[in-house]
Amino acid sequence: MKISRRQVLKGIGGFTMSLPLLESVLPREAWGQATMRHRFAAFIRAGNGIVQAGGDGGERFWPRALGPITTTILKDQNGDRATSELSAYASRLTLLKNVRLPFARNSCGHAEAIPQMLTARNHTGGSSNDPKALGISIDWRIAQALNPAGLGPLTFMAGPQATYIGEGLSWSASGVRTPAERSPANAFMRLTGLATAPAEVQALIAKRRKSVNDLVRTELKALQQNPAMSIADKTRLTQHLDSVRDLEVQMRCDLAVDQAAAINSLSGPQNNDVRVDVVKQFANLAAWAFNCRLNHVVTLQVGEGNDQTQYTIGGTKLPRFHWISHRINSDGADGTPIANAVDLHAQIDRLQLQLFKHLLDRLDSYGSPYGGTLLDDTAAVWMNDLGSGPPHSADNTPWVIAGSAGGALKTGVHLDHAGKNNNLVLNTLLSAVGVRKTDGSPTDDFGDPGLSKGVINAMLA
Amino acid sequence: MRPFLLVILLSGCEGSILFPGEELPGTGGGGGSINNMGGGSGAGGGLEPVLPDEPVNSSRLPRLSHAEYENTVKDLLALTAPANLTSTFVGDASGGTFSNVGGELAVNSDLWVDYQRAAESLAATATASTASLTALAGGTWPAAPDAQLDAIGRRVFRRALTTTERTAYRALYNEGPSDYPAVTPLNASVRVALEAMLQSPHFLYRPELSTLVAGNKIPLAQTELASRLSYALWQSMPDQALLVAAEGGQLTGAGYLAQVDRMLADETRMRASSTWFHDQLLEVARYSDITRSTTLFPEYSKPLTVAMKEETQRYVNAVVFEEKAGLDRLLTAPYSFVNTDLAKVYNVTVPAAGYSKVTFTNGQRGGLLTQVGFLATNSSSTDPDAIHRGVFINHKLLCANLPPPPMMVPALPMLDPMAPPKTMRARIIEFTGKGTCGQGCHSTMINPAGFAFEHYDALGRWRETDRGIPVDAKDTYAFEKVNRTYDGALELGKAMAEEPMAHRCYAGKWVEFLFARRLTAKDNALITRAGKESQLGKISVQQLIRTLVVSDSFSSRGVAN
Repeated sequence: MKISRRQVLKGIGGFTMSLPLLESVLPREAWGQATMRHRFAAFIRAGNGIVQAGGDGGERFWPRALGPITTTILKDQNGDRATSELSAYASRLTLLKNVRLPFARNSCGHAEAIPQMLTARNHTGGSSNDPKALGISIDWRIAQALNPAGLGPLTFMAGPQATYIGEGLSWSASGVRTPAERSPANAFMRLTGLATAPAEVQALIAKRRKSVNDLVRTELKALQQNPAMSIADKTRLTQHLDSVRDLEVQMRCDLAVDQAAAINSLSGPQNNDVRVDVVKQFANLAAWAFNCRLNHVVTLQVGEGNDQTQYTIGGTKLPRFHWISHRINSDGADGTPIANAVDLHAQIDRLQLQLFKHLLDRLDSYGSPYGGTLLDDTAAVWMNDLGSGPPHSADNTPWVIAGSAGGALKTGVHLDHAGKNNNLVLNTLLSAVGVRKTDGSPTDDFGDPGLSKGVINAMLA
Repeated sequence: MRPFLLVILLSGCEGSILFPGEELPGTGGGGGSINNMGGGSGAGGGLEPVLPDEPVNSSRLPRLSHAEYENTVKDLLALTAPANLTSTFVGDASGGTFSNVGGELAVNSDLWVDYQRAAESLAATATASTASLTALAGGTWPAAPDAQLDAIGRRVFRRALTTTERTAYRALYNEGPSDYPAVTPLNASVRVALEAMLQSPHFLYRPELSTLVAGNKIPLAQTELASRLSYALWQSMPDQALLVAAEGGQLTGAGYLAQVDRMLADETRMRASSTWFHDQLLEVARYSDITRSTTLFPEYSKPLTVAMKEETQRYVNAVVFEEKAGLDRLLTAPYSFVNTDLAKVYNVTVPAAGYSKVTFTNGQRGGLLTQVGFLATNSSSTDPDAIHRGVFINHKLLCANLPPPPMMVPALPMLDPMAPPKTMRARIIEFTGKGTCGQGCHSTMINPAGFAFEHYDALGRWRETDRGIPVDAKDTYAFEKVNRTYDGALELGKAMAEEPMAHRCYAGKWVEFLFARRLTAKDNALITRAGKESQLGKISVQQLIRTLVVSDSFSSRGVAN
């Protein structure tokens, strides 16, 4: 007896998909309340640092001056800087330089920087390549507040599964890394479920799944209450229990024909040569999922921890990005020099921002029920977990935010965070998307409790 | 070749794996390792007392890895080929050497959807015919509903259903005909019950709920032990014989040993297990990432990267299952399996088709570490990477306790084009050797291990010179209590094969894999004992595995951490 993969994949068939995912369980914060504005957050991470002041190639990323930014300023006065790629969105951007990751890195800079990015927490450290964040990440905090109960964030990675440093942005609890989906097709299938089905069949499915889920919940709770279970095991059981959701099949929401076709036609999503396409497809899915209210938050990691992608620019396949960031043909310190490595790095910086712009274009293509576009309801964040190529610093990581999260963020401005910690950025973003204290005041204490609290007032409207 | 020299180690980085949060007996506050436990036996040691095994209080709820899930559903449904369902699952987060550290594997909302979808698909397949139902029940299809549930549940949960569970699943069973009106009532009933079982934590995890303390340990219940053993050796559910033995209380003493030996004798399954272990240990998956300029390396081709993997797997199988040998031969056996792609790199002649066993007689090759996959993976695109070769050996094969590297490592200084040429070794020594900031571990551990491979270029080809200068592959490595001097990779491999440090490391890696968890300090006694058997007794890999799975640590849990 054989099982065909087609049996599982049959949900991917058509170009337009009906969705089974209008949640029957209301979210903790007004999934169904018309008066509460939906806000969204998207985080795209690049690696290996950028070419900016303080590195070996001078300033090639940020505009020359702090303060207000316009399309003209970015495009005409700073066309030689990578951020000019985003000039079309100048009035909806916040450029934030010099963001510090607070915890000293004693080992691999890449492996220890990523867990801090969205957690502002320390990590387990050690000499291994898989240090773990000692706290929850912002995407989970947002998902817990804005998504239906049990629905975690979307976690994507454009990169290989087998790698030296894998995914590290998303943490559901201290030490619990969220696995990232590498395949847009798998993500699409998971979001769309079993596709079109007659209403009576959908009702049968919902009833049966409810019965099954009830039994599974009972078993999970019994294990959870077993006094022999450790705290770590109970934490895992809680996450599992929270993930068991009863879904109804009621809502229709279509993905554009060309995007669905592209997802269906892409093979080998972990391969180097489709890396850029995969990033774009994940961006398409993220925007579509937001528009359909399938999720409120996504992380997308571009490349492994030390992004080894060989990007193709101008028809030329470049050396591995990590090697370019070291300026030599090596992951370490011993290797032959790469000619024009700084220039190549700067070109990759531009490519990374072009990919971010692709996400912005997708978000901007959907209208918002509140006026404007979906981008206006979103805080879309691009960041790099290292500052510069050499010396792989973490005191000056770059962050670019687009969208105002429903008017909560000031935009059209270039700010210098002056080496202050990233928890302030995360507090600001949480507050902007509506994850605030119970009294409605801004969240100011996300991340490690030992860090100085607060938000970045210059970012908040 | 030069004879090995034994030199008293005076200082330097020493020892191996640290266990976070734990301090080893006799190591004070300086940290310890599996390799400086047990009296630090050098070659010929053995006077130190044998410490009792210390069972570990690990997770009571290890989750099946995706590979284990795939194997399990194949066996459960008696499929002739893997269902390949996990290819659409969200991958488990990377980290650690092995992918089966069950206590660190969680179920999030994405994976829960994957499990649900897979369960529904599998249940449909399993109830599609009388034959498939019979296979699901283990060979005989009972007539009564409760008996059907008992038969299925026993295989899905790897233990008998409790009365409460049977009642709960019977209720679902009874709902089946209304859930699936288009199929026969029997098929509908079994289908919905099976859907639930395949989403149950008792299937997706391997719960170990025993609490009865016996001395300083908690012996696993018989069916818990059967599952632990089966997933350790076969990465799948217990077969009928093992389950019957467990249900009969026969997994003790000779009865347990008989089951262990029976399972070890299943060469097909053990070959798969050994391959999975060594692939992960040696990071064989990375071989497919190797790219080289065909101008600089005309022997390079994409098929070569496939051949690298095949070579290593065939070699490991030959040593483990044909020679029935152990670590010493893995590090030293002077042959390999070569196709025409590899033959170009090795400069040998082989038949045009397939892989041929080639015995190397020119003193250039022997053991895992002179194979192209390892050498090319740990190289840059143009030069061999002595530092990464050295780090790999220290971390993966010697479990050396290397302190973390400095946060920012600047690249080697640019060469002065007017200066006389220097070998890469000379440049690395200038940068990291004695008298530099990298002196600590580089000069005694990393560089010496890496420099042994100076005869192999960035693709693993043999070379006599580097930049026109004769290569120097001589060095001295600071093993635990001795320094050993060697000339080249073959002598380093021989030295490692003789040193307890390498054997304890290898045994420790097998503990991680077989016990499906990370190591703790309590594993030291077992690892030291097993390592000694491997080193002094030259036991086979199969015997090493046997030593580990018949230990108290394997069959018991610790009382408390």
